[in-house]
This record gives sequence, C-alpha cells and structure tokens, in this order.
Amino acid sequence: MPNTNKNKKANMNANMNVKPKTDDWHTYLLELQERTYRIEWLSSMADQQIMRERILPMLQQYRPRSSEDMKLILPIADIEIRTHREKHAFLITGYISITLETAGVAHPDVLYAPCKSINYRSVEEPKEEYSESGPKDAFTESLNVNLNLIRRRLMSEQLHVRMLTVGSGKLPAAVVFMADNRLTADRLIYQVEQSSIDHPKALLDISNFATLLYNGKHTFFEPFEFTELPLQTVHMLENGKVALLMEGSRKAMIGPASFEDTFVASSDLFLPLPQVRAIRYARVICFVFSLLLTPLYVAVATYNFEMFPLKVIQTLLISRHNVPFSPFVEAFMMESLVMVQLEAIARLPNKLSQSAGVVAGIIIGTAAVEAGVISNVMLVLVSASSLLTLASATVQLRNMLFLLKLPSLLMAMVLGLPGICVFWFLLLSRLFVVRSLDRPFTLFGFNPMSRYFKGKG
Amino acid sequence: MTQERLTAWQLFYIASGTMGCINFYLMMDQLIDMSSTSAYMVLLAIGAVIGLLCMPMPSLLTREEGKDFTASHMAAFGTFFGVFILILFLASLILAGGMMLNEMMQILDRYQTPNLEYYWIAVPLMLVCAVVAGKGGVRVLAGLFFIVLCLRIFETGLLVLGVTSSFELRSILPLWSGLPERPGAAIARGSALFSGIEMLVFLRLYTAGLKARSVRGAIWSAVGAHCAFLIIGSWLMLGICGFDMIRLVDLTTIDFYRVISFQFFEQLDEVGISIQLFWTLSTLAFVLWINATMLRKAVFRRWPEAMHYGTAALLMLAVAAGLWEFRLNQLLQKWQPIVLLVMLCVYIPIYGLLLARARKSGQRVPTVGGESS
Repeated sequence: MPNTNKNKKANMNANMNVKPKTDDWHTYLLELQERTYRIEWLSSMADQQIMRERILPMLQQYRPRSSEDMKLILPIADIEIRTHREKHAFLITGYISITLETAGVAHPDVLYAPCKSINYRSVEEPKEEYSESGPKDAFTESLNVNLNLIRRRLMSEQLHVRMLTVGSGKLPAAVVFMADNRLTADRLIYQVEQSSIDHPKALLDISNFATLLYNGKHTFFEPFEFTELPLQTVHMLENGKVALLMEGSRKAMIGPASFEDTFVASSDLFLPLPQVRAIRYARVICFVFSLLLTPLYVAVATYNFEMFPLKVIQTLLISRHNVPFSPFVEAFMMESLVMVQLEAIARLPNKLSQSAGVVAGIIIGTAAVEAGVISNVMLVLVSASSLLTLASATVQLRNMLFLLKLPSLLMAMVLGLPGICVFWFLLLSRLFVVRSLDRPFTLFGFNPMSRYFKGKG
Repeated sequence: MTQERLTAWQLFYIASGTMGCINFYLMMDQLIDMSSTSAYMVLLAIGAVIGLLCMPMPSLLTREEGKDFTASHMAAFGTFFGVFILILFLASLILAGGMMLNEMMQILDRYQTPNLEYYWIAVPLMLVCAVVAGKGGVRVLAGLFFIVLCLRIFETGLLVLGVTSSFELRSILPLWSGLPERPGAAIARGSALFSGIEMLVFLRLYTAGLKARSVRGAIWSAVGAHCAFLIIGSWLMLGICGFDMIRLVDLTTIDFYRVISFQFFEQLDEVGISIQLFWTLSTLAFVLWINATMLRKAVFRRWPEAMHYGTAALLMLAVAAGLWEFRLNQLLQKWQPIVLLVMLCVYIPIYGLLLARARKSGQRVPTVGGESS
C-alpha cells in the first residue's frame, strides 16, 4: 500500500510538472511561508493585469489553505475547481490556473479563474448594410459585445441564449432565440453540433461555418441570412427566427430564412408602409428583369428578330451595323466585364474603387461602342441589367445574380426563348428544393405575397 | 386526430379524380358532341369533389398517418390486385407522359423553335428537366405550378383588359391578331385558371403549414370558386341555344392541352411556346415523380432514388419514341381518356368497399380534410 501511495504521489507531481511545448505558457511561483501558489497561464490568452490587480494581492493578504478558500476570496466570477488533467484545455480558453502546494506536494484540485484577454475593435458603423436612417451600430468580432448589443435592445425575459462551442478551435458560439421558438433553436443547435462533429477543423467565420451546416451543403442558394446589424437581428428574433453568433465573426446568422427575406432590407424598418410595399415590389421586379433583360435581347435578336416593332428594328440595325460579333458574344463580353469590374473594385480602398468604377463603367464602355466592338443598345441593356442586380436588398442575392446571368445568356443563345424558359425552370426547381433549418426556403404563405402586403414582415 | 397539411398522396388522388373527369369530358365531346364550357365546368367540379372524397383514402388504408402508401394498398387490395392497379397506373402515366412529350414536340416543330425541333435533342432535354424537378419532390412541383398559375393570372388579366374598348392588345403585344377579345372567350379561358392539377398542386402550396381547419377552408373555397365558374358556365350554356357566345367543338387531346394552357400567349408564337414548354415540363416532372415513387415503393426498393428516376424517364422516353416512330399518337389519344376513365371507375368502387370495411370495423368515417368527424 505505501508503495502505491508513493507511486500515485509521484505520478501526480509528474503530471503537474508536465509542461506542454508551447512558449507562451508561463509559470509563476508565489511562495508564502509553507504554502506555494503555482500560477500558470498562456500569455497569448490571459489578461495579466487581472492577475496582478485581483489575484496576487488577495492571495498575499489571505493566504488561503485550499482551492475552496481561494474561490471564496477571489473577486472573480465563474471560477472552476477541477483536476490537473484539464489544465491545458482551460488555459487555452483564457483561464489562469492556481495550484496550491504544501511542503512541496501539490494539491489534487486546481483552481481555474477566467482572465481572458479581450482585444476587440469597438462598435463601429456597418460596412455592408448601409441605411440612411436608424441606429448606426454594427456587430463586432466579440461574442459578448454582440450579445450585449442584442440584449440591450430586447430586454425581455423571453430572450434566451444557449452557449455552444464549435469546431476543433472550440470557438464559443451562442444561439439566441425567443422562448416561443425553442423548437427551431433546437433544430439549429442539432445542425451546429452535427457539423462540428463532421468537420472538426477550426472554423474561420460564421459564413464559412454556414456552408458546413446540413441545409447549407451542396446548394447554390444560401439558406441562411447574415446580418451585421443588431437591430435587424432583434427584428428577426421577434419574427420567430433564431440567430447564431460566433466568437470572431462580425455577422449573425439568421434562420430559418426564406427567399422572400432576400428582398427585405434593414432600411425598410424606418419607412412608411406604402413606401415599403412599393420598394419591395420594385425589388422583385428588379430580380426578375436582372436575369431576363440581356438574355431576352440575345434570344430575340438571334432567332426572333420579327418580334421587335419596326421602329425598334430600325434603331437596332443602326446600332449594330458595325458590330462584328453576335448578340451573344456582345452580351457575354459586357457581362463578364461587369463581373471583372466588380471583382476588381471590391477590395480596393474607397477612393480608388470610385475611380476604377468610373473608368470601367463609362470610359471603357464608351470606347468599346466607338470602336465598334459592341452596340449602343447592348451597352444600355447591360448597364440597366447591372443596376437592376445592384438593387438587390442583400449581398447574397447580388452575388448569386451576377453568377446566374452567364448560364442564362448561354441558354438564350442556344435555344432562344424556350432556352430562357428551360433556364428558369431549372433555376426554380433547384430553388424550391432548398431548406433552411428543415423548413422550405421558398414557400409562400396563405397569402402568397403576405410578407409584401404586411410590409414590415 | 388532426391533419397538419395535405399529403402528397391525397394530392395525387385529387389530381387523378379531376383529370379523369376532364378526360371523360373530352371523350364525351368526341362521342356525342357535348361541347360547351359549362359541361366542362360541371365535370371539373365533379372531378374536384371526387378527388376530395378520395382524400382520406390513405389514412383509411393505413389506419394511421404516415404509413407506407404502396404497402398499404397492396395489403388492402390483396397482393395481386394491388400490384395490378399500381402497374395500370404506372403504365397509363408513362403512356400519358410519352404522348405529352410528342405533342410538345409537334408544337415545337410547328413553330420552328430554334434547335429544339429535332426529336432527339428536345425530348431528352425535357426529360432531364423533368427529372431535376421531380427529384425535388412535391414541394418543388407545387412551386412550379404556382408559377404557371401566376402566368395564367397574368394572361387572364390581359384578356379581361382586352375586352374593354379602351385597351387594345396590339399596343402591348405587337403580334396580336388585332381582333378584340370577346367577353365569352375571355371568361372561358379564364375558367381554366383554377382547373386541373395546377389548382390542386396550388392548393398543396397554398395550404402548406396550415392547420386542418384552414386546409378545409381553402379546399372549400376552391370548390366555391368552381361553383362560381359553374354559374358563369350555365350562362355560357346559352351558346348551345343559339347565342353563339362560345363553342368548343372538335376538341382533341392536343387541342385540349392547348386550350387550357396559354392559348393567348401562343399568339406570340415563341413566347407562348416557351410558356407552354414550362407547363409541359412541370406536368412531366409531376408524372415522373409519381412513377419514380411507385417504383421505389413497389419494386427495386434497394435502388437509389436517382435510379428510379432514370428508369421512369427511360420508360417514358421509350414510349414516346415508340409512339413517334409508329405514328400512334393520333390513335392513342382517342383511347387515353377511356383508359383513364376506366381507372377512375375502378377506383371509386374500391373506395366504396374500403369505406364499408372501415364502417364495419367500427372506425370513424373520415371527412374531407382527413380529419375524423
């Protein structure tokens, strides 16, 4: 028996002294008479100021005899008392461990105090979802700050938060929901946990994570909504949806989303109802025509020239008589140019992007017409089509539309008007398949346009 | 026992009932020249009611919700008879699908549609589209038919506007014949708005997510709409008595598909053909979906879903190609309504028998909406 005890003691000391090979692991020994306090932390995660100001003075003053005593005297919330084995796991999440040693023998229990270093940017204006009216604060990369931004707008007992960890990086995440929507929240939590198991790699961002969720896989259409506005999140929560926030992501993921939501912008919340209705109908029309305008021109100009009224034919002939390319090649070149232009200016600084936009949009377009590479009519149509696309309420829809234009053009070129019909048939077929949190992404309610009639829904 | 929403198979029953009656109308038209819109309306209403009566059948058969449809059919009918009925359905649907493909080909050919007038390009393309849509399930089909309905509403709106003297269709549609639309014709075409499977699939979409009470409300609203059309139809019956407002004479299946679908848009040739194509693809997808589901439930259970769709599509393609090769479309279209009518006539007594069996066993008689009274 004594031998066994001796072995255990040796093992424990050995276990305690095992130091993982990471250079940001620091140890400080505070020796107070017969007791030694072994304090350990990762300098990359822990806030040493908290240790200096709140922990060390208290230990020096009270000299606690056990971990339980330490827990009582330290003015820090959420202190945990666990074993040595969990030390590494705690330290990487920003805890400081304090191990009490008496006469050179370490106590079996270790105190872990949360001292996470917080270095986040402050709350700033939204970068993507611009609105003339309404509050200007946007989410940051801090989960706690983001939760606070939601909570202070929705001080309701019905608002629940469930904390999770996702990925191998053990990123903290939170599912926020109203009490009535517990079932939907459970569905989201299930999907989050499943994808964390299936994809154990570290996660980069919430939008990256959304593609790993069950409903987000293998689909061209984004089945979740993303917003950087706390106000929009609160509005969605009140409308029966649930939100997922993640540490390090400056956006909230909202689900279940519906295709109709892609026509709803946060600025709608501050406008009168009739105005909102008109704008939303306009957005729907923009969506349809952004995908129809140039393909229709290509189809009709290629196969059904007789469909144009006589005066229009006259204008078209004058416009096209010097152009050596077919309508499809013209349209394809211009649409590709618009995509390249948007891609080129997307990551430029503001001032440069404005200049680049002007150069690409006006100068190259005009020069191409004068050089006889494209016709005036095509330039007008492509510009109008681009404007219609940019009128989309959400970034996801905008990106999707730019990509969908090319297959639409191709089908119009190959099969004419029936080709456009086939394209829309396939597009809608895939769109109706998408599910968001196991609910149909594209589904109309009892009144198919109810959301539009309600205006603010 | 409450039912949350219409199930796909209930929808199938309604569609079968309605389409059966429409085809009955076509057959009667050919036999005794019963050609009026009102007769069509009456039969449509009867079809809808028969379809509604058929709705609780799955729950009757299965005695519980969600049990396998085909298995319960087999159990209820006895193995041989159940299989026979299912094969009859499968065969007739594949035949109807093949005919529809060929009819669309004839239209594409007639209008010289670019690159689609060749049989071996257009037909496989249509089947691929149908498989893509059918694989999505009933919700996708419902969505597609909803779009078809929206187009019809748009068409009807234009037609109604065309009746008024202040609105000339030529001003918005350059290829319009120039003749003003007659009120009777406008109403008759408008009547197609809520007919056939589009209406039923629309109901499925319309009622999704609603409680049983709302489902019933929506169904009876649709029946009410049919009654309203029936009243208009009786007015149009005057056409038979010498008021030549509208007459639908010498109607064949091909004409029927054209009459109930976008005749107005066909004035625009290519636009009309494109929309007709959209309608045909949706219907083909629906047929394929039913066939593939039956195959999956009845035979080759271990095959993946894509294999079932592929098999159903290949069967349809083979039938269509055979019909095309042997010029059998014209002959078969005379018999297709009779086949469907026989199917309906077989099904109604079976329903009666099942109802009687349910009563005998002491089970509550289900009412419309699938909810026990």
